[in-house]
Amino acid sequence: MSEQFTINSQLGANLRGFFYSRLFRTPSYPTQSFAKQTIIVTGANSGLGLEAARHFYRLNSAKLILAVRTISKGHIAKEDIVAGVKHRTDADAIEVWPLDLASTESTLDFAERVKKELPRLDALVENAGIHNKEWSTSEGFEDTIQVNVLNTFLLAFSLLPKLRETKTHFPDSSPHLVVMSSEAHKLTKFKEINPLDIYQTFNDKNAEKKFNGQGR
Amino acid sequence: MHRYEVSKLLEVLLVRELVSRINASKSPSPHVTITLVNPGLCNTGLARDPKENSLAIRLTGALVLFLIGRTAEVGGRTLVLGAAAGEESHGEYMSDGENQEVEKWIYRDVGRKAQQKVWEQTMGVLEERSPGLAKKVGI
Repeated sequence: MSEQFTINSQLGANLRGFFYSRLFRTPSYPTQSFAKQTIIVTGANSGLGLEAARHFYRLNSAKLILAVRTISKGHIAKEDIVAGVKHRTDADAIEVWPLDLASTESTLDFAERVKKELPRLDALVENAGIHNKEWSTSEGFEDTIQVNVLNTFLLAFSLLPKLRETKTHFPDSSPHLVVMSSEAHKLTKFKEINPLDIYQTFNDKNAEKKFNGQGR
Repeated sequence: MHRYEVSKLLEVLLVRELVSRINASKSPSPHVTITLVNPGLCNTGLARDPKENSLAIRLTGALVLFLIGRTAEVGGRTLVLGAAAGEESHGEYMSDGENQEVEKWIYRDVGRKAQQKVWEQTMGVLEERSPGLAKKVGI
């Protein structure tokens, strides 16, 4: 196969940057007020999503939507957040909504509900993502691509008009769309870009093995 | 499987292309600040591999996470700083709460071409899922 795209990553420089960042840099403790703001955090029941949600509630977000696959886990997260923020007792400010990014229907239903039920949307924080070790698919698409890319962007594009509308109706708002990427983006040679149809390649289990064998 | 890395790269390319299209638009919409966030290596469930069979690899991984992994609280800050980012972070990749460069090849010609190809084919898939999507977003 001819390679139209020759991609070389800078492993040495990246490693130095990685250790420098981890050893000497720490993201500052957030202090900006999110008062009046309506914020959605996807994958908010655990890990970084939960901690980000905790910060938003502490920083006085008016409405916080925890978008989660499993509603019961979302409610546990909500109770944990409310219990930990002493200056607030308004549990009603946090809502748990179902969102399963493996499902296109769930993603579109979520976006519709946002448009219908939320008067404003100031920040869509797309934290949800998976790191699968085993091959699996949803709707014919490999799950990592389906969840981290396709339906993450389906949700972003579906709600971008809502974010803009918020700016129009609430001029003091400064709407944000945040997509959780990673320095891991530097670690791939991205061989899948060469074939004519990249999504066909992503959904081919044998291609994954083949490209993986070519020295990632 | 090494799909996670590719998925994170696709996100970088798609956000960069989205923002460049929005910025080039002749009829500007109300402004939305769009940022990519790098949380750094965090000691969370995502970084741990329960299916890894080798005890040596599991122990090494646990040691690395213990020594230099951030807590979820510190990693979560990056998302909050992203949601509070100023205009100067629009279309940018934020690491440790500030703008940083993405991988170098992405800025080169090969990166621009790869970005175009990814954008066109991704939009093809998304249009099937939500017909008229690109038009509604004005991209």
